[in-house]
Amino acid sequence: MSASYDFVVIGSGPGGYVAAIKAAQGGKKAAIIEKADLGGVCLNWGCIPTKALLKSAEVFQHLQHAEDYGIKPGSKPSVDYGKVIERSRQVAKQNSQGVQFLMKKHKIEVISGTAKLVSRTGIEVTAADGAKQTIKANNILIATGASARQFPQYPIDGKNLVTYRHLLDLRDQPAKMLVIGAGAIGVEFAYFLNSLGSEVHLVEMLPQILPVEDEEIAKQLAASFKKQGIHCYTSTQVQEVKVIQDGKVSAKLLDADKKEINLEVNRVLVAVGMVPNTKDIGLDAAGVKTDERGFITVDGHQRTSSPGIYAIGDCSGKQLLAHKASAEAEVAVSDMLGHAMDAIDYGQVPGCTYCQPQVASVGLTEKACKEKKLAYKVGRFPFSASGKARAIGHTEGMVKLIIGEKYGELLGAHILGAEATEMLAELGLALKLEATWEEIAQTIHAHPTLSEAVMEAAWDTHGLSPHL
Amino acid sequence: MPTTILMPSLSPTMEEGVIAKWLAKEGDLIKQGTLLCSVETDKTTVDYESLDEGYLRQILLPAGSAAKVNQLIAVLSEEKNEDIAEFLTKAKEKNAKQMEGKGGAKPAAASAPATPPPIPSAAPAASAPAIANPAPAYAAAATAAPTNGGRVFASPLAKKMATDKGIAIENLAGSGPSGRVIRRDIENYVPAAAKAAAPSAGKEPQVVQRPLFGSLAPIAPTADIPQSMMRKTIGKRLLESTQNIPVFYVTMKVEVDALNTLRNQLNRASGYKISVNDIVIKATAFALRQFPQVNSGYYGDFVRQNANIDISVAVSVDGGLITPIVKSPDLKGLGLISQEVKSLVGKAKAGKLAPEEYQGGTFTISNMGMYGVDEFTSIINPPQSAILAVAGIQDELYKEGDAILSRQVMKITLSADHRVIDGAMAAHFVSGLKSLLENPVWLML
Repeated sequence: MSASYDFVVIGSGPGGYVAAIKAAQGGKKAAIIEKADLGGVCLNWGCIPTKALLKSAEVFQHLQHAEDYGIKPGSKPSVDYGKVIERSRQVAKQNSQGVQFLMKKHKIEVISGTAKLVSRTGIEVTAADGAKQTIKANNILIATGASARQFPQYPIDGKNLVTYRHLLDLRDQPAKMLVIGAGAIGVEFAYFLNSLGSEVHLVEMLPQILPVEDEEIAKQLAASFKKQGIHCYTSTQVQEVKVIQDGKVSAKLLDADKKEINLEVNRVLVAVGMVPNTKDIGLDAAGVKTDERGFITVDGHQRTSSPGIYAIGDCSGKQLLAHKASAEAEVAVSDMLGHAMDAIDYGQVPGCTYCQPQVASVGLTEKACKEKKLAYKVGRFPFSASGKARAIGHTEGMVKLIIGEKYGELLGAHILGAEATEMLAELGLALKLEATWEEIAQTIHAHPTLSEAVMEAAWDTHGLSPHL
Repeated sequence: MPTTILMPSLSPTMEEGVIAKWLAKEGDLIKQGTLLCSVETDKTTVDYESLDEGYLRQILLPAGSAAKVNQLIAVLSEEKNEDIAEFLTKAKEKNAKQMEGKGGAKPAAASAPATPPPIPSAAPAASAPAIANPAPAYAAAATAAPTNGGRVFASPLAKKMATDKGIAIENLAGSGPSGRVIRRDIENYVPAAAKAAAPSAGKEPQVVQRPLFGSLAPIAPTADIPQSMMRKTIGKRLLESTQNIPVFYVTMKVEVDALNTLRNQLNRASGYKISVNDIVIKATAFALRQFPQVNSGYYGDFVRQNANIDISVAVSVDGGLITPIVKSPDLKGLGLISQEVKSLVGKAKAGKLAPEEYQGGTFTISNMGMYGVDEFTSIINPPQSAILAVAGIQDELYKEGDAILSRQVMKITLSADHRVIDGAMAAHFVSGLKSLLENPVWLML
């Protein structure tokens, strides 16, 4: 007799495990199937371990600049790269154990193995040792995530040509690194490796690094990267990548002026997008449809084309972000429990990049406002005018707010700066609550904080910032 | 060398314009013919094409603001990064002086009526829900925006939008958390009357949505409504007309059975939708050919009797009215007249009329037949010396011998400027027009 559950989640990332807990809280008998470690990419190979690496980079940078603050470090700081990676792995492990604890606490069955849908309510799970079992579920939630996209011209070997995932576990520091793709992953690794002393070449096909971010912000970040010593190439194509021998890769780039650039590096990170993990999971057998790129199509309640089956997170497309997956988990489980929530407003999903200076944004970019033909106004406040920023020695960047011309409602917020990602939250709330510039400007912000720049930028939408 | 951009004069009567929107932005390279901004004039909204070239360096008049004709609104420069600071200071000074010299920059305050008392802050808006709420008749199934000691649960954006659109937000059912009124509630708001007309899809059949009449209707709050350029112009010109013109009125009753028969025949045969008004335009043009004195303009020292017959047709548009012109309808067939009127009305409603399409008419027709008006008079549009008011068609019983018969009649009233047209002339004209309308076969000639 096969095991039977009210609700079975496939994939234990920040979408899947949150969904399982919500269902359990709603009184459902829930199980979660995971083929690797609990927590998915986010906890094990993404958000969390990379933040651990970036913290190492920041600590090193702090020590290098300690004398600017009147502190003399005993000896010249140096990097133990293997230990940096080891710390990151430890952090991941602890987090994964945290999820294990949560599953236990909420009495959620954890089933180890690879899941495959065999019907609308049946899942076959193959354990690591090859043992198979079939389980039944009234409702199924697919949260299988996504993986790095691979191209035949960049044959990944895990050593010379790598994805973010390999890089997180390789213990030797490359002296010279080529990063293909300047999305969040490429930009964060470029910053990390450069900070620890590697020579980094960052290549982007589109005209700006961080192509989804506001053009003005991306330009300022590129300028900062250049100052830090990162070689940025935008509107540049990678013509050829050839492994000459282990630890030696040649690359041919074609820049915006059609000029050829030849590089020889020790390692290449391929960070050119993600593809959904929706192949070989039995979608056809369950009647679950995908779009032409393989992302599962869902409605505003995260329902798939197959009744009773939901999909959330990276495998259902739109922004491939952990917090978007968790938010969708709430929507899907609420629907399953019979008290439907509002659909996610994908225009209100924040995006963060954790290099230094950090980039954080929510809502529309200026370009998007123009494309939508919205009448808008912009307010800016540079951190160079902030007392707190000066005190802590991080005067790079700015807060940029875009508001509607007629009603003054917040349309988009873009921050570049030291604590940009932490500062963004109030603007997400402002967007959600449909705040106008006046509520933001008239909210009393504590002094001295970096967040004051948000208030100042709101005043600046009407040329009223007292500190500009 | 930088150059200045001044508020253009886009119509002969334009004294002031409002920048509806900047179409170019600072830093843009402007060529001859580049659209700089759209300007709301006293008549319409016109896109302003640049006659100069250069980089748009600074916009001095933001969208939504008004400026007198020839007032400085922006600065161009030849080079993209040329220093314009000094030029700008001088240009501003010079322009300010020039405007003063012309008495243009002076605000209209002098001629405006005394400042009205401010609206008392305890406006009836606050008491409106108190009056409206107890009425169970319109209590919708959905919870009205919850109020908590006078506080309305609504997002700041929703509040601003509601004020802008004149929606009583406290009566709205919010779809946000805990019934909070949010943007989409305002965007999806359908006035109660319209809602009642639509079939209810709700699950609770007990709840009957009734239109809000009488004391149940929401109280519109006291508000000072800013006057648009168009409204100001309408006010000014109509006042001028009523104060300065010795006007008199001549009304006649026209029997329209023959006209209707002809119209039905024409429409059935041609597939056109020729209206009574199209026929009135044509007949009026013929009457004006017969009595050219009525097709005149009064200019003080002389009266200009016009050779061409260009009939202005009053069209009600959002925020006012405008009179696009059907040119020489005396030379055109009904089909063409009908097409032209439709096109002009469409353009007028969209605010897209070109100046030559509404300037320079020689006679005006105002038709309120569609509103079921029995009879009315219109105000002459100077320098024209007459205007025709066309009322609705009604059934009428009349006696012929001993028989009581029925016919359809329509009243037409000419307002005439007695300085140009004497009583007998006006009577001849109206009687001639009546005869044309009652014997529409004449229109074939």
